[in-house]
Amino acid sequence: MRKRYIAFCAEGDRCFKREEVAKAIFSSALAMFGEAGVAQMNLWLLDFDEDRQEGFVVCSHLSVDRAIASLSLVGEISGERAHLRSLGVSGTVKALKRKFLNRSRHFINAEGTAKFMGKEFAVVRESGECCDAVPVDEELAERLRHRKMRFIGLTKRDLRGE
Amino acid sequence: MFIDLRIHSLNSGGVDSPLRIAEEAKRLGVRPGLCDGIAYEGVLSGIEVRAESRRKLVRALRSVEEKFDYVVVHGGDAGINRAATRDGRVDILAHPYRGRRDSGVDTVIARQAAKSGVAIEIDLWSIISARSFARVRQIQKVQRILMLSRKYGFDIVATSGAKSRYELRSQREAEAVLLSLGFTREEARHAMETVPGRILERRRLAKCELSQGVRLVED
Repeated sequence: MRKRYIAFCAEGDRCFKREEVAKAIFSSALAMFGEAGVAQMNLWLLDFDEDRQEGFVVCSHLSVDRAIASLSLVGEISGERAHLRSLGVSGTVKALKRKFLNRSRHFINAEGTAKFMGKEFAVVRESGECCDAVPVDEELAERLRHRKMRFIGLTKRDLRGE
Repeated sequence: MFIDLRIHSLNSGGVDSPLRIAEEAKRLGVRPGLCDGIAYEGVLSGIEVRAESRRKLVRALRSVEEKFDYVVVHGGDAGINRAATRDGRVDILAHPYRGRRDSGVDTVIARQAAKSGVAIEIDLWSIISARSFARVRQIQKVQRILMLSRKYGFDIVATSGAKSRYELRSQREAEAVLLSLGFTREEARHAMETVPGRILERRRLAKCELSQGVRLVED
């Protein structure tokens, strides 16, 4: 059997553990394709770096689409909204690491308050142009709870009022 | 490139600013269309018309301004689904299956949509967010729409239906999900690229039309 390795990164409002990600991928694959389907896919989580929030799964070369579908059908991890973003497919781990891994973005903690659309926010983390903020407004906080999220997504241009 | 025509930002029930959505979509290699009812500069902007009855829908469509790149009707109600697919001013009938036990598309609607050129939307988030038996029902509805589309020839447009940055999907991911629902690769690409591209082109040409048969040609 020829193998394919699929690199992915986990994006969410917090860092996820390897066990949580593995559980999310397998329950998603099992829900969509069933036990026999997953057995045929030979899907397995080989590595997940909790610091970088990226890793890769292995599957048979005939079931790359099914494996990517399993990753993208993950809507939440441990009750929080998340996205397992597929980064690329490769035939060897070496090429996969060279081409797709170690490129995910890192959020760093930030402080400050900001105003956008007449509402106040407390900025908590940022990465490049993007920053995540906690709303003071109760209606927006409720909206976030409903979507199982913690932060409103803004950009620095929003905060500068451009 | 996947043209995702139904994304909601902070201005219409989402949790991200329009610029943040544009930024995240760029990372995913997706061309975003914000369905906020606000005409943004530099980003595809659409309007989602919501109406309780057919009469109110016709009235609402009459007052839609020309500045939008596309017009979406919030589907789900049988009467609204039927009225929207009959109306040439509508580009997309969004989630005709919402809140229904059936797909919301019958043979009459299918024939009308094929004739009027209204595309029927399938949003990925309704499948991703559903679990267990609810997902089974959701997939059945999508497969019914796909079967009717093959028979009657109306267009299907695939969107993410995202209300947050984590609900957006890249072209490869959306294609993989559509393939697992029973689409062929050509059908998936048609629904993600060709149909939305055609809708935008039709609107662009309509904006240039000064009167019937007279069009302003750009150099």
